[in-house]
Amino acid sequence: MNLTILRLTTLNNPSAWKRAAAIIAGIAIGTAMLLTLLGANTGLQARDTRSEWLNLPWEPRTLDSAGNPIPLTDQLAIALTHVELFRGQTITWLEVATTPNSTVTLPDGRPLPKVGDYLASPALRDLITAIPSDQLGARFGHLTGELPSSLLAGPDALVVVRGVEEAALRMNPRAVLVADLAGEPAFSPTGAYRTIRLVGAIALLIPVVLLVSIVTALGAVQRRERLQTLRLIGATPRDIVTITGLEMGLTAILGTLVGVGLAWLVRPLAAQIPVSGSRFYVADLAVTPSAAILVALTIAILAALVAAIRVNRDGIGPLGASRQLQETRPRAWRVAPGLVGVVALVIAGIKSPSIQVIFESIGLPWGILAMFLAIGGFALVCFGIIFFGSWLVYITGSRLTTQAPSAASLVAGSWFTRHPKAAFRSVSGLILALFVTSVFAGLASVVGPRYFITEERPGLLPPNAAIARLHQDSDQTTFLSQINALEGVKATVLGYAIDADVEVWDEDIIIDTKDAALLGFAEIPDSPCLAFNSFDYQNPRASSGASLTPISCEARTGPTAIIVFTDDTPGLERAQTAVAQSEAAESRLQTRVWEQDLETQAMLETMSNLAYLGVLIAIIIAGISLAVSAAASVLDNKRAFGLMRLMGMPQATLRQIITLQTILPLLVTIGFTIAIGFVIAWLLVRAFSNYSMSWPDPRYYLAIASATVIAAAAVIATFTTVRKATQSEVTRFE
Amino acid sequence: MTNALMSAQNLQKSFGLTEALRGIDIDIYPGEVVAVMGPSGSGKSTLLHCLAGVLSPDSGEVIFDGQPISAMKERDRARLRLTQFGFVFQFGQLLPDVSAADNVTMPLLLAGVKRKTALVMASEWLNRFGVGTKADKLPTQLSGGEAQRVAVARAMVTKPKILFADEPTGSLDSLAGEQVLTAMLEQVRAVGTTVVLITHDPRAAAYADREVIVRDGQLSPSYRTGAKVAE
Repeated sequence: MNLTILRLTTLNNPSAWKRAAAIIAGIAIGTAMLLTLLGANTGLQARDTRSEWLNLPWEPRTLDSAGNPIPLTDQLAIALTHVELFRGQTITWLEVATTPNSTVTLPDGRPLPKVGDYLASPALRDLITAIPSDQLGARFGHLTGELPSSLLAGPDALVVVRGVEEAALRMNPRAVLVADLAGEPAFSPTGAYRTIRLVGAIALLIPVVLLVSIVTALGAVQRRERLQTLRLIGATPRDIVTITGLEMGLTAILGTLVGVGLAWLVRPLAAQIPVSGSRFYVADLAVTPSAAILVALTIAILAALVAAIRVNRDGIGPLGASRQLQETRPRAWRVAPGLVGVVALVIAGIKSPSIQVIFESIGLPWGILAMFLAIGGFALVCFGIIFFGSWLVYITGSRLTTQAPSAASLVAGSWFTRHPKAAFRSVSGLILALFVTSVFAGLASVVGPRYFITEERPGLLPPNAAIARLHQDSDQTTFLSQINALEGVKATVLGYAIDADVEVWDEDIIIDTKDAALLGFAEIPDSPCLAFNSFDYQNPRASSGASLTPISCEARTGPTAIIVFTDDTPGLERAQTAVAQSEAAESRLQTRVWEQDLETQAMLETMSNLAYLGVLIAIIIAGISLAVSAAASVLDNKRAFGLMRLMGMPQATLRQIITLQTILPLLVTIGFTIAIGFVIAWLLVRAFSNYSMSWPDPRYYLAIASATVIAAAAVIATFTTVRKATQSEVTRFE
Repeated sequence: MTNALMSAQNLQKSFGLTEALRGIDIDIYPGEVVAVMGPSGSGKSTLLHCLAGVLSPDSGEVIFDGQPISAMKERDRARLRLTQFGFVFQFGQLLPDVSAADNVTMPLLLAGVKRKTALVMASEWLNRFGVGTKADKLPTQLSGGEAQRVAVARAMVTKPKILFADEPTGSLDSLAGEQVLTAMLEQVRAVGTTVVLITHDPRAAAYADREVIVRDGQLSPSYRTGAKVAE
């Protein structure tokens, strides 16, 4: 095929250039989105892998099977990881004990810190510098170096590797012996993203694919007319297919090249999105050149193929398309995939043990089956909505055509009846985005409010207090006076261990009755000493808290816990620093908010932010698709509309037609979509928890409002195109 | 002498450096069929568009029923075209997704007529043009001649005072063209509608009461003077 012919037949006037530019822009946005998604996926995997060294094995522990200490050698280190909260941020600790000539190193080969020394991540180092030493820095010891980015999840990761005495670690039953710090893949907050990532990627991918599909169909009518002329002057059907394929392929290649550049440019911006408390390193979001080329080529080839297939299917001859360009009528069976999806979700929620046993008896473990049913059901409902939508639009179009009260409704109704799939395709991105948002909002309404009980309740550790465990054989008197002397510490209370010979239910701490009121107990029995269960007392999810049981003061042995009351955050952090420095404390001070809960909450918060960000992106992409689609519809019908204008159709009627053609498919499916979204959320909640849903987050209403505004903007943006395309001067030349 | 239904005085219209109309004066009388002939690019269509209020002349005036059209706002001109004028073009004028009957109802619906009434009127006009059985067909399912009859029915359904027909048979073979033209003229004469027929086909022009020739944007002396003019 001669390229000059191709240029003359495709880019032969200013509108053809504009059309090509719009197609290139659309494909570029789609490509950039795909590459950014791919980069995010790679980035999340990369940060999971980099953090693996902090996942210590469960064993071997420091004692052998007989309960004797396993000796520490140069080839072994004792290690212990834990997390600590500092003003809402999580600091990951790795404490290590080694011999002076230890060969155990960090994964990058650098030696482990000696007793009293520590290595910190750059973000932690900055935090330590910014905060008074007695509130943070003094907990760690002497800073001897920085952890490299190759060992950190992201630039905001707070990680410390601290050298401690062997004896101190041996006292902790969770400490393990390790020959290296290679780590192992284990559950991590980001690991939980994998399934959600997949669902989110599908939810974002569909609007992107729809956008590419819609922009590549831009100017289809003009293209058909051009090809018809070529056929008239002797081009063979094969020439037509080749011209079309080449035209779209070359345009798509340009679009993908721009898209690759765009993806590269948005990387620094995308890297600012925090996931699990840390932003990304920009390099994490890089896509390998081979992957970028693969994505670009796939899009270009698919665009070319689809365009060529469309032209071939239309059978364009010298006198126009030989086959009628009307879609096949959608049938009611289109509701089937969505229904199957709903049924799968209903089955996933079956709680009856007898039915679960039936599945397990045929080798289908219920937990795994339920998960597959849930994910599969969700995907089916997503696709089901797209299938079902066009049928709904067709039914609406038929009704509208039959009962059309105005010219605008007649034209719009006829368009829906003849082109239901195209009509729904233009809004399907937005519809799907709203569906996913509704599902997510429903799920989030369960998790959000009920996670913590933060207010003061009888029998629960008061919000301004924290508790730490004590070593019974340590110098507790000195420790207690140190804590009491700290600025910001209001009071301390000691809890005592119960003599092993005394029979109790589940109580593990004895207190003096005079301290009970301060500790937050309301019903205080008349007895000099009282006992309670410390787990119930600290449990952040407990609604009822611990109760006091009278006990003989003779039953108490040494102090086992200290409850510290502070009047502000610095006071608590000073106490925490003192606890970290003291050998008397067996554990860190713990408030009612548990570290792992905060991590979970941070993860949920991150997921929630990511989901709403994804929704926003999907809504914007869908809005662009809607605007392009509405403009394409005007351009494709510009001759007919122009002649109608010429015959006296008012501009307002044309605007009504465009508004109806654009908004009605949205209106007839939006209510259904939102409703089904919440039903699916309810089914998922029912399948995997015993909670009930409540009202969604305000961000949900913001998402709905954004979608509405974007849809309205898409329609209004088309009005200018309508006005220009149907001016008398323009129509004369059509 | 009968008063002219439409008068154009010293119409001038340019597109860039091209002078399409260079001072045309013409009177069109009630009920007459005027054929406007001329070679391609002579300004025939521009004249029709200026007369119909589609284009505004650079200078000169078009008076319809005593009202100057050129001074009207676009909204008023659109209303005038909708209620007083009818249009038939060479091709591509039917809405592709709308049935033949619904295409005919369109001007009525735009004028505020109820759908049911509009459908009855559309059916009547489709029958008059011999395409009543094609009422439910889409434009793509009609032959060229049938589509053109539907277009004429649509132009006539509002009973316009003037029908502007721009090469209405240009895209048809001679037989179909003649059938469309005779059917159209039979109906317009029956209801007394005036016709401005743009054509460069002498056989089509022969059906007119009067012929005028446009050449280089000016009217040449007419070959034939109609009876209405003689009056």
